[in-house]
Amino acid sequence: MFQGLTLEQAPPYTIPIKFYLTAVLYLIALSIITLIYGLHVSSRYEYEVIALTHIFTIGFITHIMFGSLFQMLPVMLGTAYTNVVRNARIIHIFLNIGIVSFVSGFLVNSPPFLYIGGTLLVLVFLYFCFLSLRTIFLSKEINAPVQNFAASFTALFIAVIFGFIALLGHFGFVDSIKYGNVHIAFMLFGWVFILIISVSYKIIPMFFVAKEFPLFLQKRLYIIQLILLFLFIFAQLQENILLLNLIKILLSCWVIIFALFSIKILRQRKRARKDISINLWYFAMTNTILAALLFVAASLLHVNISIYIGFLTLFGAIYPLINAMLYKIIPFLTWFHLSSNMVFEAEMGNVISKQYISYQVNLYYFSFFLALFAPFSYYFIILAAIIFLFSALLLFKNIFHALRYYNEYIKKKVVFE
Amino acid sequence: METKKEIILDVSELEAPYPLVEAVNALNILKDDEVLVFRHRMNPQMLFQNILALGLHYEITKEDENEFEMRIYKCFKV
Repeated sequence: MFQGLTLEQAPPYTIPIKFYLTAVLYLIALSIITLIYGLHVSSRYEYEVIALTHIFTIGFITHIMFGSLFQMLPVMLGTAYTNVVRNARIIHIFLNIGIVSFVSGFLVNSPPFLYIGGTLLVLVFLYFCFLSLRTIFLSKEINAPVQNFAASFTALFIAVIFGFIALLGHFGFVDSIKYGNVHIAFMLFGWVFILIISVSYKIIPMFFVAKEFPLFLQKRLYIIQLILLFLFIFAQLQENILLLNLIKILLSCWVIIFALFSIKILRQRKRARKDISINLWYFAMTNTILAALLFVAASLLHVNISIYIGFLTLFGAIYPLINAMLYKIIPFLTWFHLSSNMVFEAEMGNVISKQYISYQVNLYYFSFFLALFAPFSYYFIILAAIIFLFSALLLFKNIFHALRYYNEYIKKKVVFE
Repeated sequence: METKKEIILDVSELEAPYPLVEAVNALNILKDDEVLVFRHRMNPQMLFQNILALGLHYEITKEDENEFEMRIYKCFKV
């Protein structure tokens, strides 16, 4: 009965999947490198911490986001990326060379690696921004979701520029901390946060039979965050501490408001069934609120707990949210691409085994709670890293299973001559 | 002016991908003298390509928070 979907704008299935699988390889690397370099770290300024953070942010988060955007943006806009296969391949190759060089540069303290890696990463990010913004401007569908995406690319563009300036600071050219703070603010409150809210506006109503987010948030939140971030640049460069603290509080407040709305909307969903992704979402939003509150408290009380806030934000909030999204997006993508190729036997529920999803997520929770005890003994970091390694391996297996499922079913495609 | 028969399809309580499946199924059997009134809780962005690929026309009649309705028909508006 069901007679297919059209696939005119979407890129080949293998593009997002290749980015997702590569992303998980960086989680595996993160676990192993933590065991080698991460046992005695205590400050966000240590090179080992910067390296580990970037394995996660550029290695994992960026791959997931680029892969998802290559798929989502054209479908939402009705306009395809130009030469998507070639451009995705170029971005994938140079992103990986850049990450390996950049992270190695920090781990072995090698300026040439840092500069080569940093320059490559800047070029790759700017090229991706250019491609995405051009796709947006070619589209006639400039609606609220698309404006949100455009805002996140703008934040990424600025974050990359400030990141590169901060890198120059590591060799004494400028004040690295000042520019690094702007880089982090634009990356987390700009690129990552605005992209997460943009995707959440679509995914939560679509997959959880929940209400839409209030239109005020959908249409105004990204503007407010961008204005606050531009003020952040001014306050940080002028070293106006009072204004800086006020902006940090306001940025955090909007993050908390979004998190509370997410929880409310999910709790009021029409089909309140048990779902691993929902639990991950609640967990992520709870940690988001905690991290934002700690960030405000640390700013006001002048306490240096940035390494804990960073851990809670990256590993307690952003990671589980992405994990939850992947388990909704990948089965849907697999089904969508198969259906578009007139293969109708595929079932979304069979793309990834629920049992293995459960194992992977529970191992993640376990590693997170073990890592919380790291201040008491570094043995907890060792245990957490080992457990997380198994969780990452299972995540890789689960995504790979989706690819195998697709390859198996696509053979049933009927070709009309 | 000829009045077309209304076929109402409400998918607002279904989770992805079933709204899309139900909509595509209904579009494929839509007759010349029928108009599909499609109701959902959100804008079905992936559906528009299918509507256009089938040579159909659509008119969005409601797009508010949690309420979306459009009329899909062949050839001419009713």
